[in-house]
Amino acid sequence: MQCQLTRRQWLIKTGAAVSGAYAAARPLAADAPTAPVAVARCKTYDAAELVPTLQKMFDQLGGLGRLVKGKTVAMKVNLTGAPTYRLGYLPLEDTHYTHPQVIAAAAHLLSKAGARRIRVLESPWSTADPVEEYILRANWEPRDILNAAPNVEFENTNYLGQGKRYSRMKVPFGGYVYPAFDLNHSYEDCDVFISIAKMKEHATAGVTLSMKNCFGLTPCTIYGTGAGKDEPSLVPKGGRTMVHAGNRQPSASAPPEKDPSTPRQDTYRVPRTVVDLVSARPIHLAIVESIKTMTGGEGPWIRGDLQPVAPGIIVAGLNPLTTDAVCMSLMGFDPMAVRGTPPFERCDSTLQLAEAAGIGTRDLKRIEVIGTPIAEARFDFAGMRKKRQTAPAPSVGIRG
Amino acid sequence: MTAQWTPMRWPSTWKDPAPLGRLKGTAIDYLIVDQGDEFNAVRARARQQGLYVAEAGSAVAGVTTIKGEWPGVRMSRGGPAQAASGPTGVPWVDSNGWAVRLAAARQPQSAVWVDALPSDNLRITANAYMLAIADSAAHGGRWVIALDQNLAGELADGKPESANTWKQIAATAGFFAAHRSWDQYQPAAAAGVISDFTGPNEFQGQEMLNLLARAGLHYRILRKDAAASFDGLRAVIYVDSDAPKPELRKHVTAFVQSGGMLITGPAWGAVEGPAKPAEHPRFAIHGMGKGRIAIAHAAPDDPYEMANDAVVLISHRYDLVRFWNGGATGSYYAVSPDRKQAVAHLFFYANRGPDSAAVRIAGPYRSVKIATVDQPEVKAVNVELQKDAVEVHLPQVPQYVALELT
Repeated sequence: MQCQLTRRQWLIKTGAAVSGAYAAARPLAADAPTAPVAVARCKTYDAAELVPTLQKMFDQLGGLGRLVKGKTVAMKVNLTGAPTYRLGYLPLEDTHYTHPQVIAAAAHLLSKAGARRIRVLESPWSTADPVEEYILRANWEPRDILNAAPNVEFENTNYLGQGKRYSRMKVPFGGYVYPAFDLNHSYEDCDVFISIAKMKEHATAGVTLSMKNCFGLTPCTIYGTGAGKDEPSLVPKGGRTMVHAGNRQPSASAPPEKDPSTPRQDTYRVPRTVVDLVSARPIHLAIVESIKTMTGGEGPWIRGDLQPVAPGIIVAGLNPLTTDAVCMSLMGFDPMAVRGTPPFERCDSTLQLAEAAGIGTRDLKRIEVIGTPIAEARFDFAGMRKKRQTAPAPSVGIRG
Repeated sequence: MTAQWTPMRWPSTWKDPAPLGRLKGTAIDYLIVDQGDEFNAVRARARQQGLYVAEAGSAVAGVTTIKGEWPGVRMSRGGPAQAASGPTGVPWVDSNGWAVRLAAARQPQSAVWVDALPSDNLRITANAYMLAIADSAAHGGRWVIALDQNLAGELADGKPESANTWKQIAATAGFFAAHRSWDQYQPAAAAGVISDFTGPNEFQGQEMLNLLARAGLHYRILRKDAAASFDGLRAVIYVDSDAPKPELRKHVTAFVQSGGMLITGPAWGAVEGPAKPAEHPRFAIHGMGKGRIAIAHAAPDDPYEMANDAVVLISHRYDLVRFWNGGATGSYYAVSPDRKQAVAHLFFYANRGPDSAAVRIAGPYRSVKIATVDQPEVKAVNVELQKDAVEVHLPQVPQYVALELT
């Protein structure tokens, strides 16, 4: 591990936490922190291939033990959209959900490395039901994950959950959109935070990787369509339109936006909010799986030519920005891309904003890539995107 | 339950018996005709044609008629463009299936007819008529076919488009008349709902049936006054506001001790032993023998919340039918008396059927055939075998599909 400090400690130490003055205080790109990223080919979700592959990657990053031994580890997985949505007839985990075998394999290795408690977190679509019940509807077996290690548990973080109060998580650099968030206690009550994402394009943010996965940290009881005006609602209802569109403020009990006069455009707000969240809740380990995934968007509800694909790649790193930068390159995109260039034709680059906030570097020249070289593992999302954009959109039937 | 007739309400604007010709060769064999001498010719010709005739508003021997809703996604008051939603944003679906089943449970020897008139303000499509017929018939009842004013007028005028709608109505009625054996099938169920469904328990009991079906839980109706078997059930739900009689309590307690679950309100009375700590925000969960009792902290007054809580308390693990890409869905799953075959009736309440829906059906069946009104001859469909279930990949389908499982 290159950096012994958490992102939050680093930001405080470097003075980047000066509220509202990130632009002046931000480190130069050349000084932004970096960390190695491990890349591996993995053709299947078979545990016999997956577990040793992940084990090797974690060893290449310095070993999990140093990070998790004796600790409570929280893993944010990506279960975006309702479990009743599929791309065609394909299982959700083959297209847009973090695959349960990857979650189970990570839990197994974390436990083996000495993690005291492993908590699998997600804010499932519009429900306060237990995550176990949610994933059963996706045709998953929760015991496949719960039994991966002796100390695994789930929590639905889309509402108050098992906590007595929401945790106020401040954005150390002051925040682009929000200065702080009120989140489910699980994001504070952990020693180590891991983001396990699926490698995908994203209709609003260009790509969704380890950082964008954290958009789902926000409980919809406060940041959702049905959020209470003054206090959080008891149960989440609907999606996060308020964060996307800025059409209202969170429940008054939570910190409001810094500046309601900023653009009310999702392509402006979502990338910035993601960086705010990743700063407020630093990621210690980023895992992005792309053994099987989809192109054309983050889920089957996106209009366009969506295709299931099997890149056969896993990526892991100790810095979410360096990890996402490597992922972008593996997808055939330039991690240095800015608004107006693929995949950020319509939106700001979350990576650029994260770099400016001091989270890390996106400059591949400054990122050590361990394992399979990028050129050997690359899967051409960018080429498919270009081809797609020049073809007319197909007709779309009713997908529920 | 028996469904030997297929009833139709004769349009009040059809004073001339000539349209009776349309009924020839269809399954429609019972006419409900308005009172009045102006319909004498219609009645006489109908009887000559071999049809049964009854006067509107009068009881029909051997038939229980219930007031129903026009089935489908309920539209908001703002107009047809916007569907109304349930409390969590799911489109609100009206179905008469639960009411048909309740009527049949109360009067097992009677046929059940559903009286639900189409709105004269909306254009009712052929598919909407199909759904209206299927919604009742799949559950063993019969919708009293009632034409909206526009359709009745256009049929009388001989407009070609109306003939297509009539053809769909006749085909759907014929489809169910050809599958009367399904009426003898018994509901597959994960839970039983115990109530008298009357008096102070009418609203809560009946709404539970309505909303449990909407939430995708397959249930059996267990009348409180009749000895009922709990065989094959995971749970029983008792939501009445009065305490159960000792015999019922004993029966349910034995079920719980052998591994079942009781979901109930405070009216059930005290349960021995402490509740498990804070397992559910609205229920205290007690262990009893091999099973569990979940008692609501407060008397249930919101059947929507109670129904959805029940689904999760029982667990989606025991879902009998699971949909993907179906939109606003419903299903009724019934098993033949010898349990060697089953039928799963699938409803897609949106404006048209889905293009890539899948459905998982739990049970021992390994072969699935599909039948629709347009293609009533059963044919094989792509199936993925799973442990204790089959997953069916449906082609482009209409709003109603029957799957035959063996």
